[in-house]
Amino acid sequence: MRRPGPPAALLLAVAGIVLATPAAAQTTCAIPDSRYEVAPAYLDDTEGDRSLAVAMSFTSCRAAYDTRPRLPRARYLGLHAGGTIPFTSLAVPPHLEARASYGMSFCLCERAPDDPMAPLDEAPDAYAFHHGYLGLGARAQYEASNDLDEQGIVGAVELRWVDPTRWMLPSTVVSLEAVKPTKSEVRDALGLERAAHGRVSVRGYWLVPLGGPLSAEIEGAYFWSLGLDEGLTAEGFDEGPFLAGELMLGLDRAVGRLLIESVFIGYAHGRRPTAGEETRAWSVGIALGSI
Amino acid sequence: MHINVHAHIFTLRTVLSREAIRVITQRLEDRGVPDLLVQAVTRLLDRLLDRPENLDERQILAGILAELREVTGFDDFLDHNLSRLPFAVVIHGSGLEDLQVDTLRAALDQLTTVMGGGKRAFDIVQTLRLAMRSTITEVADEILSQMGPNDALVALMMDIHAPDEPQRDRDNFVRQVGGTREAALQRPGRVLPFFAIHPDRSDHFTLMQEAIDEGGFVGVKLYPSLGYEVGGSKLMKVYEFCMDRDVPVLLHCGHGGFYRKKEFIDLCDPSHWEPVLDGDLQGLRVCFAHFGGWQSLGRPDGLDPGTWGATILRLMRERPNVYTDLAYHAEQMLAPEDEAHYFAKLSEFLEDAHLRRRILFGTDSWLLRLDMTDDVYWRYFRHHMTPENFEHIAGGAPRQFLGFPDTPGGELRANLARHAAWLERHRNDVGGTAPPWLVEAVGGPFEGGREPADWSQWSASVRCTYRQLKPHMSSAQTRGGYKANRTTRLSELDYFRPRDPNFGLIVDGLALNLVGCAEDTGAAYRGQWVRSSVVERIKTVLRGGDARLVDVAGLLDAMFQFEEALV
Repeated sequence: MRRPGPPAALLLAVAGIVLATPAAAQTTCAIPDSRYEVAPAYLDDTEGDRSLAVAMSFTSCRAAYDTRPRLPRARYLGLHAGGTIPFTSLAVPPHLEARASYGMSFCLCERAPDDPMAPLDEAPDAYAFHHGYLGLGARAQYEASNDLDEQGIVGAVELRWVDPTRWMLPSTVVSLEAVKPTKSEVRDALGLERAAHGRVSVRGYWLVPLGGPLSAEIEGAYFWSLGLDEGLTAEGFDEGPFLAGELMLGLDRAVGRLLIESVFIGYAHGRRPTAGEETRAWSVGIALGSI
Repeated sequence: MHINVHAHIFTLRTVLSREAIRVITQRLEDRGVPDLLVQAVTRLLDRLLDRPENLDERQILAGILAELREVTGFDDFLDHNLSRLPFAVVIHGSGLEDLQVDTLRAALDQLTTVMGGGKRAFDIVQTLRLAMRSTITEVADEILSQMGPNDALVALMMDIHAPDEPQRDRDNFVRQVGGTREAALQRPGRVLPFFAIHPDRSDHFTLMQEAIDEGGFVGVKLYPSLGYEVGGSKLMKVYEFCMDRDVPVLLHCGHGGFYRKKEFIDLCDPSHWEPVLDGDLQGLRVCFAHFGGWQSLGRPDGLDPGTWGATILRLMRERPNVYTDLAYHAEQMLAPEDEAHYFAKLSEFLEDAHLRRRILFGTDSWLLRLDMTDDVYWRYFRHHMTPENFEHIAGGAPRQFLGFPDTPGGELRANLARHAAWLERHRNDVGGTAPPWLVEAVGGPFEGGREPADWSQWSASVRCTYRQLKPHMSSAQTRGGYKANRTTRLSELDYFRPRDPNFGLIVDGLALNLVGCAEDTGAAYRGQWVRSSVVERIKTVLRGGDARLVDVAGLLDAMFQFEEALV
């Protein structure tokens, strides 16, 4: 028998805790570095409460590079801690989180030796084999509301693969996440269990050259939730497809100081893991740059 | 045919050493550049010495601004001038590299204006931009582009040798020799190289002999204020060689310029040459550059007895082959009375049949860029002189000094004849069209099939760049071969898909293979570059997409000590 549904705001609060952190890029870090950031923030919880806040974070990423000819690889170890602390309480509490991630990226290839005496146009191919690029990542995360009423542990693994020379094959991300609420006053108040939940998501991305400056981008994704509370399942947080496409015409045309990089038309349909409702959207736009 | 008898085409990379940085920044200080800016430039050059790299204008601007923020005293300067300072510098901080060139230019311009440095910063940046080209040929091209199609320049090398010279600096000097020679092959008949001597370099004589006899060099360059006496036994041997091979000598002879210690400036005093230019060496072709300084012509007392100008003037009158040049005479431009005196005096000397043959036109580029472009300098002299006189100092007189025949069909002097013969040996492998004098000298045309100096297929950096990125080229790009892809931008390759959720993986893999390929050649890292910093730098370039393949090759070449380096 289905229990009475919880109020929408509380549902969002729970969904926020358990679902608001889709798999981040864990297999690489853009710039191996350590950074501290402190910034003022202004929060609005859309329920009528607003507050000034302070946002703080510390991020550190360390990399090790291995350039061996066969399967060259990079390893990354990332640490992140941060949160936004409002000066007054809000209906949807912002997160505090601490995360450790470990990732590896591989070139599924083997560099072939050069023949330095051969004219460059007749030089041997650069690779004995090349099957694209592979990424493996794992993440462990502790997250909590700023009043520590809601706390949970998230574990995630992901697998990535891409080969830009084979545009027919999608650039792929497969991720598996598990969430274990360790403290939840909202759940306790609603009589929901503090059971562990999981989510599997698959994402594919194609960049299709259509000849000349015309190209299409297609993104398809699907997610399945495992062991999600009935209340959230009933609200559509359990699974769903997402599909987006964009047709793009590259222009790179200067207009005064502006550069019109491209014009595009796009369509998106489906649901994201953290949104209970299905969305449909058309988009038309111009991508601008500066010279 | 016009000839600029005083130009420098070496890249900063081929002269950069601790000593060179000291000498360069000393020069900036002497020219009134604000101290904070000098310190920032010093820090930037120090960083480049440790981690060599070819920077474009945006990177130079961002680099100087970033270094300024680290300079001691800059915080106080900010506190005292906050309301007058540009937003970008005060607020943007570490994100400077993301700003547009115009914004960075404006920011530096405002800063230095507040510092009291006028437009100096803009000129310093333009000078560094020119000097930081990846090859010597590119520097030569920028200077030649401001001249006529058949005009030529004398490329004066520089040897800032220090007593405890590390191997890195020695390698750079050897690269400078190779790069200058390459520029002469790339632009046949338009780049006339002079070999730099520093008598403290143990093998200077052997290197010079090889350069003159077999390497296409046509003259010898001296810079006494770098710390040596012109009458020493080592240099006497050089002069004897020059006499024997009919080779002209050009030396720095001004109170400005580079010097190791202030007291060394006097080593340029032309009176030191009186005993040298005697006996067997009396006929040595010597050009005392800068005429002892602009004051010699620009000030009423500039040629008073005892001045360097007066000594040069006397040597020109008394010795058969003494010359002078007008390189980097800029300060008379600032005062009308100095300027009037300068050109009146010059005009007077050019009416003297003997002196007329001894005064040569030169610019001192790229160092001149600290104040103006070559083009401005050429136009300035043209504007202030009669066409006949200008044609003479920029045409007939330099031709005579360098060894061109006085009359059409005449013979080249030995130094130029050797140069022409050297070019003839490479006639099927030069990089550009030969001017008429060369075609006439060797009889018949040259074939311009030489690869660009920065995109030689035999260079390891080019091979790695092209081979590793070729799988990401379209079939049309691949069909063009490596030559056609020199200027292909990274963003035109199929790997460049910044919206791909796995773009980071692609960039990782490519960077690892580019760096791995360079390591596979056995090349060591330059300076303080190590694998992780090189991979990260390459990743930044790959992610940006703006760089051309030739830029990537240049970057690899700057970071690795390849046996076949780009020069």
